[in-house]
Amino acid sequence: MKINGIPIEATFAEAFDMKATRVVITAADLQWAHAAAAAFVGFGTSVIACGIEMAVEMELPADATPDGRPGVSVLAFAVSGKELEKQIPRRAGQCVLTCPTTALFAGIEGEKRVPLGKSLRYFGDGYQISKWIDGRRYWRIPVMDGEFLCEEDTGRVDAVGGGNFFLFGRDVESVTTACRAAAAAIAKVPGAIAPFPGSATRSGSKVGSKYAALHASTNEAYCPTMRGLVPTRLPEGTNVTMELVIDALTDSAVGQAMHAGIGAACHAGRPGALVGIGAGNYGGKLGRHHFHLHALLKTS
Amino acid sequence: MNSVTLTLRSTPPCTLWGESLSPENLAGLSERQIAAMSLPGSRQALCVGDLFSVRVDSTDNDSATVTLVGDCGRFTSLGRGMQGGTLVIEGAAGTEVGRQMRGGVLCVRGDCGHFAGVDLRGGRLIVEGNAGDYVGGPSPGQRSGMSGGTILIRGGAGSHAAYRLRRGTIAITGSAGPFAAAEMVAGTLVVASAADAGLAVGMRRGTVILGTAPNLPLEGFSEPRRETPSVMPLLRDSLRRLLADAAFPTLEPTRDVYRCLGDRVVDGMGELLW
Repeated sequence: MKINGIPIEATFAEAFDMKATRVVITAADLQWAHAAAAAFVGFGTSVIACGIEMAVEMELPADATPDGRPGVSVLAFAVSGKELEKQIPRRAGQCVLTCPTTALFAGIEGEKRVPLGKSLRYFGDGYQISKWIDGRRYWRIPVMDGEFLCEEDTGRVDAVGGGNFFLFGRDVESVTTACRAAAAAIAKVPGAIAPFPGSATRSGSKVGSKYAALHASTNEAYCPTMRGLVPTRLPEGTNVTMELVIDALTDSAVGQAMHAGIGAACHAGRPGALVGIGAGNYGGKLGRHHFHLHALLKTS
Repeated sequence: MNSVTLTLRSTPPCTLWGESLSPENLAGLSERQIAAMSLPGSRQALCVGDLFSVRVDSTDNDSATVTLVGDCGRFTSLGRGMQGGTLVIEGAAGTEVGRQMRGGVLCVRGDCGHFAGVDLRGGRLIVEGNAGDYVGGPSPGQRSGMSGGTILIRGGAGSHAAYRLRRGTIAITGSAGPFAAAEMVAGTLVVASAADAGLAVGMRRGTVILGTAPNLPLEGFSEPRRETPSVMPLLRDSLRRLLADAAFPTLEPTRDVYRCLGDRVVDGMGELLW
């Protein structure tokens, strides 16, 4: 199979069940909202060591937020509800509460809850005010620019994480161009994020390591400098590989994001710059969500 | 689900307890069964059929509706403890209307007596006319007042509206009598017109939103400051839906509000906005 002359490998991406939540950060202007969100999602690229995978899902216009101010929605994914409950309040307390003019709201419904203001209210040292409005509880914490308004908690839902695809190319420039096109296309898919820096990672990993303390280590089969030393899985002509990892609220959103990302990557840059598209899996033994590239892309 | 209409034929000779005339009690009963129901009274018990013409219609609605037509000012505790459905009183209601209500909608098309919505815990109580004293207050012997739900008074209210209010919203589109929001614990009281003396005395927490500047005592409340409380947009949207077409400049989106905190006499941190 080829798209725009670029070979698509007959393989699949293997994804896993995760727990997810969504929050909405608003502020006096979009610049403050993005500043808070950037700090909030920072060090949230991979559950391997960050405990959580997070990214801004989309910008929200003022008429789409609870308090009528501009904002952003943020999606967060973790391997367990307990980890979400640990990471989200900690990050919200240090990154959103601290950022001038911001407010924090639930962004998703779910029977299970992840605490927000429920934990952060104690910063108010007794001067915090609880307010129930239309069945939702909010906390107003006095801060130096007025009040930090924070909803009691947000919903938690089952989700899918670890959808992925590889961009194989001849040089950094061509793969970067394809990668950025893919990232832009994925950003338009609601309910999906690509949590790595610039939506991509160059350090594709395999499970385990020769060092006992490590759970994951470099996937040498995809490292161009290891060719000739270890069995390679890189197509001929590949000098650079970047991987886009996708987490989403549903497996169909993962599929949509992969479809959109691969399609955009294959039509970006000069012809022949990409030498192939692949995907990472563990033989289908670890994750129950399998996204076969040919089946996924047959409509394009 | 059934729609029950009870049309009052004559004024009751004494005060009667109307608690049993709730949608959940009457749903599924025949006209004969309803007419035979006994209503306890202050001096004598009477049957529903002695006082009302009973009509039962079947409707496609999911919840039961009961309509009382006539001046029900001698009925106390109408809608007490109701948990769902709709109870409409096409006329005045007596005391304790909607007491301990937990759900559903109770609408009084006229005035109502004292203690409307006392100990209300959920649902919506709407009074199209004026209400008496202690709207949303505590039941006799109880420490806390209303703890959930919504009360909308389209006229004025007597004294001690929102007394010891704990949770929920009370909106009065007219004026409130003395001691509104006294000893308020939390929740929201809206008074679109003037509030009389003793406003928010002993208030501990909660929000009082006023249409006009209050006449507060010099001690007990902080100096009013012009502010834009973070929660105002959410409150504004919620109250706009509740108040519908009632004019209320304090809720205009472009307006900053004056805010003061108190009652410091009791270490309170309630807020007054206007």
